[in-house]
Amino acid sequence: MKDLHKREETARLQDQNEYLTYLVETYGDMVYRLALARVRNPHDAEDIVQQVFLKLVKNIDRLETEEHVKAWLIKVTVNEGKSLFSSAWKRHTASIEESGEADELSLEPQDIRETSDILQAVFRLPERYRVVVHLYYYHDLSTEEIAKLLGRSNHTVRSQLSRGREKMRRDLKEVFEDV
Amino acid sequence: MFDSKYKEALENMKLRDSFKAGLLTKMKNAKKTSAPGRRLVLAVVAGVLVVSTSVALAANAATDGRLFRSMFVGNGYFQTQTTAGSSSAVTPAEVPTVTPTVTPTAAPAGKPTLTPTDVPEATPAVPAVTAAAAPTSKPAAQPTAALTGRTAPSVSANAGNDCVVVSWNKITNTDLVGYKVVASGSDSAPMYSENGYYAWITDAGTTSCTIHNGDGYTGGDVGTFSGGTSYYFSVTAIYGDEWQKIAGNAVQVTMPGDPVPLSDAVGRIAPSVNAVPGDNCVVVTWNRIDSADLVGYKVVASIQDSTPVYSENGYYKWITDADTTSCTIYNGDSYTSGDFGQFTGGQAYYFSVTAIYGSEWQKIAGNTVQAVMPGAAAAPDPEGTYPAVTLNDPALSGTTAALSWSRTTDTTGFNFYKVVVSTTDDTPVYPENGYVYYTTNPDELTYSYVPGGSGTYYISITAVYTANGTTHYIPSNVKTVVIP
Repeated sequence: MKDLHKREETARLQDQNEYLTYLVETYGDMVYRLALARVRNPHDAEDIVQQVFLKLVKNIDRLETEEHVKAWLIKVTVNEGKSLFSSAWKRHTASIEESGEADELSLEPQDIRETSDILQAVFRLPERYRVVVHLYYYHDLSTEEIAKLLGRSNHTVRSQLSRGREKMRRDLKEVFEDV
Repeated sequence: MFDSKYKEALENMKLRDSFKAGLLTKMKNAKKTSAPGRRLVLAVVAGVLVVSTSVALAANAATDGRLFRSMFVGNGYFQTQTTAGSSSAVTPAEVPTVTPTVTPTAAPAGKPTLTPTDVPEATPAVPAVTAAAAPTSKPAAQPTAALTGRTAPSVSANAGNDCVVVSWNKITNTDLVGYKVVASGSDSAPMYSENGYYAWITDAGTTSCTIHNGDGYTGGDVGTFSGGTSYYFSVTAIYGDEWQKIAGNAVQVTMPGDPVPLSDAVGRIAPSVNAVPGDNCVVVTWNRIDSADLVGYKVVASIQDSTPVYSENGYYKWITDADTTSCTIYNGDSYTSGDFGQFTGGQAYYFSVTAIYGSEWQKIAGNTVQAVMPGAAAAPDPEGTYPAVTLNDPALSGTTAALSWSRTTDTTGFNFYKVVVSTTDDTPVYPENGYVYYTTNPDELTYSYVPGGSGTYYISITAVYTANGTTHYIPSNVKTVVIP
């Protein structure tokens, strides 16, 4: 009886481990990119990814479908970034929130060189525009959905999106011609 | 078109395989330790969710059928999640919050000692193997601790199946930044940051941490946890912007299981570091580390912290070639994410090298050497040579303030005009106060600012110049706009 229980337990763990592997493979980069859009620093973004996925493990039994998982990951990544950078953590990572320029990005020089113009333009935006732009263009969310997610009004999100676009337009003339 | 270009650009931004592997190990370990009793509760919660989700599905089917979107738009789903989230701690039993444990006794050095707290009876269901609280020998808390209700965690540690479960009481103080789970093989009162850490937990509701045989440790003397070896476990609570560290009691427990094969842990050594002043530079050298696990060396420095370690203290250089065993740091070089931004002649720095090992990025700090950067103090920003612009009186029409300013008289090295606004700081300047608008065009001299509501707004234009790799921020005069 005990053995049976143990075998079931092992099988369940194996299944879950496979599911976890699948989720990391499928959504790891998505979470990483969203974290990167927030903090613009690969090391801090990795820290966020780790916290988000460890939190996912704790909550996974309550996320019924994969779509739940995906939505949950986006929501928590946005908030995880917030809690990481809201308090004392910030002091230890320079003025990431305040700095707005490519020359102050925490990406190492080789990272910046490898970064395309378009990413540099997005990363140069103030944080509040950057996340909106990322959610809108990478996750194809509507401004209404983004507003819910960030706890901002739809009007605010719309104006942040349009200001973000406006700022990038200068850097990215050819890309933006038809926007 | 932008969205496809943006997605394409992000394609290159990927998690490192080694990071994913390390993450998966941690996730699986975390999963293994969730208690069966808890699972029952979760099943009930999940059952409730199935019902609410089905409702959402049904409602959604009538529209565009995209459940994912309904997550955000449909009300309630995330609220349900959040409510349920409060019961999601891994610990089988939550230890009630204890009263402040730091007694400001008349310690000679003016620093109180920690009294080990009694762990309430209802602590973990696992039978205690060793739970003798070792008296902490280090001054761990500032006298203010008791006054502000910043308590030391009350820690227990129990051997499990091939692991040690460290648990502590939930700290409800809102100053809490997080918990550092620490261990040491030799120090009977380990605390962060002297003894490094195993895990950094920023969720106040997480009150346990499972450490497995073979897990790596960051900093400190542990290296890799190995079965049959006895360790002192503790938790250091971090409070407030100043990162006040308050150590909990320590519990000695032997890691169950087989010793970690030497081949896995061998060669993960701390670099042996030296730092010698040279001609307008400091040369940091260390021994070559011959370990297949070595990912690289981080050269670190600090003015304040006598034991600088990556990543807490940032880094100067990241070296991934194992054969590179020296690094020359010049007067005036910049530093990433530390307690200073630029090396300056005449200033003493603590230098060290942190070796990074394995997919889990185990960080092992080398010894520290203090050295004074030779040479003259790096010239203070020659601000006089970079012209400030002049902000004209804003023209207020309705709720829009039309701003205009004079063109910079020196476009060499000109980067940006930053429009800086503050409601509290009457001399707002970028980057301290952020900005509401910027332009790289030296001829763009106007901006329409829409204040967020009634109040007083201090507005200034910071001109940003870059020369020889140094950025200069030159603020203009300040104008005030009052929105009734």
